[in-house]
Amino acid sequence: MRHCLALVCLLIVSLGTQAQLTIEITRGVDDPTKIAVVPLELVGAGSLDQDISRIVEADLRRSGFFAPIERGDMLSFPKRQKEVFFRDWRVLGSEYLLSGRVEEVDGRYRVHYDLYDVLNERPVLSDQTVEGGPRQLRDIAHAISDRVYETLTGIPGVFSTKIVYVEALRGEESDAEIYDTFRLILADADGARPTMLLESGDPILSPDWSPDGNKVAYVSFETSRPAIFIQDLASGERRQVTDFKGLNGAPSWSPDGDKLALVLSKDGNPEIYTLDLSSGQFTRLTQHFAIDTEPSWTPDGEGIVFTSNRGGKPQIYQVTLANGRVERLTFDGDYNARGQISPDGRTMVMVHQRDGVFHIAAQDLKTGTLRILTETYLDESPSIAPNGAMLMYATSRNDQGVLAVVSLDAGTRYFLPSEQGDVREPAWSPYLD
Amino acid sequence: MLKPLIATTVLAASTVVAPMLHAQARVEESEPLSGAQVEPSANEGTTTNLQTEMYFRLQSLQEEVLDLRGMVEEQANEIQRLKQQRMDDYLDLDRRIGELTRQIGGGASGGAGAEGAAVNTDGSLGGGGERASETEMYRNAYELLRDRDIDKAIQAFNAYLDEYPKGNFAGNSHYWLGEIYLLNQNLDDAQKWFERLLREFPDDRKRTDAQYKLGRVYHQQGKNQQAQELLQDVASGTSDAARLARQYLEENFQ
Repeated sequence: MRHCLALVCLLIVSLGTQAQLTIEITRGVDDPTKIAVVPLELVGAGSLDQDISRIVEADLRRSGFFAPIERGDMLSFPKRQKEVFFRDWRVLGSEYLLSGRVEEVDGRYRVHYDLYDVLNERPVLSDQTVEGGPRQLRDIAHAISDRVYETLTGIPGVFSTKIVYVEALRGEESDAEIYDTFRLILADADGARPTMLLESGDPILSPDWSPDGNKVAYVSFETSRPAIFIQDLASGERRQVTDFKGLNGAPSWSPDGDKLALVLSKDGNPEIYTLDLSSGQFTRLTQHFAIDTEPSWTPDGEGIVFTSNRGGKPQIYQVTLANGRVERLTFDGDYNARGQISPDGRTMVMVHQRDGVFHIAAQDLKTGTLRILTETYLDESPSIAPNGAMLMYATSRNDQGVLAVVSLDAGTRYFLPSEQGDVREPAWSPYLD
Repeated sequence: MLKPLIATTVLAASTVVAPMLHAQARVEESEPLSGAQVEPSANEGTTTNLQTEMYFRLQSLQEEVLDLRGMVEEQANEIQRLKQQRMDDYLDLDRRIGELTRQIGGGASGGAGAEGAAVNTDGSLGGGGERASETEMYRNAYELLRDRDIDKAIQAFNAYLDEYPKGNFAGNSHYWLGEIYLLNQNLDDAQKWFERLLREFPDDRKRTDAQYKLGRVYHQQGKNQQAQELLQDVASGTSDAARLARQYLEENFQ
């Protein structure tokens, strides 16, 4: 947590006019758990410039599992356990209650909070504290949300995680067809606090997080041909790692952070390579006159899944690094691409074409069963959250490129519409602690 | 994603080939000519044609190889699937025969019908004493249902779930409870049990059946959109439930 806060402070590239992504929930689970989030107020004089409870409420609602109680319906705002009257909350139908207070200590804020099981009239979490500076109230709120979510659902929360994505803007003239500005943006997982990592007149593609959450690799066309760069998020320092003739694309970081898998066409047609980041050595993994692209590591780091048309149609294959054996993973339909395996190794998500429409689908790797998760069309670039429960993808809505999120059981869906430009190529960060 | 890539490579390939042909032609030209002007140019034409033809032949052979490879991969997968299915069928049959033999031999109480045997597909029959009592509790409940002793069946399934909330037959018990309430037109309770099954046992083998039934519940409750979504989801598969869902969709949503 603290580490993550420090990181945010260092990112001083503030975007005054940057439009942030707003949330629009389209579907939650059928019977969400009711929870009352009491306003967490400052003890003593003064007020906070962020409403922590509202952020927690929004986090929990967005997860789809919770329905927060209206603040106006609350009969009291207890700050301590002795002020809690369970009957009042039972009347509201609330199953859980989150309450507490904020104290100011030497210019920093400390939030004390408790979580109660209203029906059984007992605390579930007691005397929890989170601390942060005045500009970290959002981080404090997300930390509380993570704790509450994990306690009640058993799934680690991802409210404190981040995303990077690419924003493409058209020229000044309203009828301009061609994008003239590309921005690589870092934001909270809820789209808040966007900061710009890079602005370019040339396309930026395929961002991917290092497993420690400190760096991002991406493709930039700024040198007039595609090249892969690694950028340190804290210092902003950039390093170009490939400069071959032809394609240099689709970087994917290995789970141990030592290597990148990538696509190069330097030896003829696109093939999958790995790059050892410390030695700078490239190793070619695929040998085929068909196109091999979009590599992504398996969570155990022992294999790489990639898209290939070696069977006549784009399908997803897996190469085992130890022996170089290639195995086809997808057999459903004529188009499956951009595979990514969930952290538990049990599910693969991908772009799947059915009836001429591109959807995001999930395949159970054991049974082979394929499920379509999205109702939108032109879906691309799925990126799984570190808890394996949700994924973010790019889609098109009203002729605008937007980001959307769907849970891997397809029960929860929401959009992150952008106020300007087309937004695409999302990459969900690992846990940042 | 791949399309543009393919286009680029094809383009790249043709640009590589074109200069090659040119170069070849020029070499021919630079040779000292002794004969008539007509002859070398004819030769040149033939060589170029031959190379072009070779190029296109190679292209089509490559495509052919890709397609054949795809077919081999798909057939290998199909064979794998059939082998697995054969094994599953065999185990299932073996279990049923085992059940029958035991009934005849030991005169076990009550006939374990096809359902009783089929649900126990994870293959661990005759485990410890606790295991047996779990199976017995579920079977007892199922038999009450089969004998149309509805109230007692509801009690028995609930008792089973109280004892084994995550038991081997917990998914099935949810399903039958939903089914009982659906038969009694108690739609709200039916909805509750089917939804719980889908939520708490997402990998249960009754899943698609439950989705289909829940779709029907929604439809009867007037939640047409939810019903249609769910049924369409089921209908995309190949199970019996998918077939029923397609039929139901055709009859009610066309």
